Amino acid sequence: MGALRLLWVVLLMGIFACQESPTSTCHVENIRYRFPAHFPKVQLPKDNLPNECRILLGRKLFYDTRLSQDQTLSCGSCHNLNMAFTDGQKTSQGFHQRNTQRNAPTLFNLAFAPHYLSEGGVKTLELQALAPLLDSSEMHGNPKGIHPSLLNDPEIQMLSQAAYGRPLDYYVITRALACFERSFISADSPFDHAHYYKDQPWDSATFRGWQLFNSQRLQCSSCHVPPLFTDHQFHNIGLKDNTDLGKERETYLEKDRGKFKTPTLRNIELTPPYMHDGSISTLEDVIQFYDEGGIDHPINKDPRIRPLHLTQQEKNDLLQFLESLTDWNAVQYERFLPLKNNDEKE
Amino acid sequence: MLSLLFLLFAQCNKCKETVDPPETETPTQFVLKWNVVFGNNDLIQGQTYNHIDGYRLLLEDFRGYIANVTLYDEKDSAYVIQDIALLNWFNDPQLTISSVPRTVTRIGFGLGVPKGINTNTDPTTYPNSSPLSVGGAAGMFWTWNTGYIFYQLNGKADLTGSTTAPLTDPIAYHCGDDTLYREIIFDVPDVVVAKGQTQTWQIKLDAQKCFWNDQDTLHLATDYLTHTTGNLPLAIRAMDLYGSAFEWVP
Repeated sequence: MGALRLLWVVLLMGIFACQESPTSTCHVENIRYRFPAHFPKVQLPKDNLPNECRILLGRKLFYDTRLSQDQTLSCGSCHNLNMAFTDGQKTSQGFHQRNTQRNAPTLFNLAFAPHYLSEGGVKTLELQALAPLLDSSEMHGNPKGIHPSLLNDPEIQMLSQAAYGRPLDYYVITRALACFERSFISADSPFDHAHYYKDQPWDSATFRGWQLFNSQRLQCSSCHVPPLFTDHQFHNIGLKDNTDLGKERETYLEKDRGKFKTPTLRNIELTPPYMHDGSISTLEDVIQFYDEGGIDHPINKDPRIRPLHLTQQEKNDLLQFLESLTDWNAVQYERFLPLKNNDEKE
Repeated sequence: MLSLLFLLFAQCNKCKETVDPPETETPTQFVLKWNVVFGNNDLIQGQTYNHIDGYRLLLEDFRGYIANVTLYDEKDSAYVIQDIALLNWFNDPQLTISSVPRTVTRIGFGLGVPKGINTNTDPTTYPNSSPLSVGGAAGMFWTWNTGYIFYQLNGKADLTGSTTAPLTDPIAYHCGDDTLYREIIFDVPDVVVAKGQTQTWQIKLDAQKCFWNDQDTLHLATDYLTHTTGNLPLAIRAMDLYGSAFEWVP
């Protein structure tokens, strides 16, 4: 068997030797992600340390519609880079235009999350990939087999062997996607430069907004904890529609009803509409929602969500601060986009 | 390049010569064969049956994990002979397990995936042949959470009470959580299974009892849907009924 596998690799290498392919130039030595110094330390999974081939394979698969049952949807269909990896929809449309259950979240800085999906039931980024891949209202991939056109793609198979030493399967797909997604780092906003890098001045309205954000009166930063602007915890914030069970879905506890994971605020300007159900259209409306204190849910509404009595000036300052979290560089990085020589296929 | 290929082929031929001859000895086998019925009728996929409340219903998908198939000997020592299997109850379900000869006084198995495997698992790490792999589980895995669907029964009913109307009301019992794992043990007539012998046991699975038994009834107008989450009490009842549906056939 070992000899046959070697033969297979040798033959594929021969086929690709004469072609100009990204595969022929990717390296399997471990590399480091460009994690910013002011972000938390991360323990990467030992079986999925990053290298060029793994990230390249993940990048190709992320934009490959052959992962969906009818070959019309890729991860990139609902996670567009120019919208900070969201899609601008209340809830995304998946297989055969079925509505998904929740608003598409941003994929930036996922490497730092301790759990995934809105109720946090999935513990690794690798496993998270199975949810959209197999869910019948998302990509509706076939658990029993990967589409033959993908399995028979010699370049994908070559990359799979180079990256993980095995043919393409769900192990490889989930790991390669996670490896690529961990590279989605966003820490280059005006806020980062003013507050962390200290190489740019604060805008006065932005600074006032930042102070308000941290104030005892508003307590925004107690859940949206910098630098990631999330506490990774679950809260019921008093939204109008409380029919989605949220965290209760995982714990079966009534006290967790309607609790959802705190989303990051980084690039929030680019990710409307807002909330897990996309029920609030604009950032101004989000600020208005918090100012009014949400709707009382008798069981478990977070006590920090209460009328704030903000002035118009304060609302403007908060908005200015939130917009300072936009990383205009990250949402244009070439390395997050589909490979150019695949544009026609994708 | 050509010389490398030649070397590889030469290597393969060498391997062939050193392969051990296959064992010809007949193994000792234990066979668990399930006889799946709906009341007094055979269970057939897509066939219509009557609920005790008078509704017609049909079953479309009926699968479940069987775990830790265990043989107990005369000293009540337990021997697990198979860890996990996923059975399609419509498909002449049976398990044929090779093991060592032994005396058997009781047999047992679990319904579901044992704790530990269930919640700390990554289905992508199992080989495709495993019922716990993405392909092997074939949808019996919660992708939004970590864990498996222990037992799944999907079908349709007609809640109008008509005898001719199409069956359009969905029924779905998807049960899976550590708390829903159930264990079944049957006393069997003592048997000494010798080397090379095949011992077969028959177990009845009455799908009717997945809907009602002496203790409980799933009324389809209200008790028609659980994905465990969102309706754990119904999942518990459905799992208990499912557990009661297995019966020893003497």
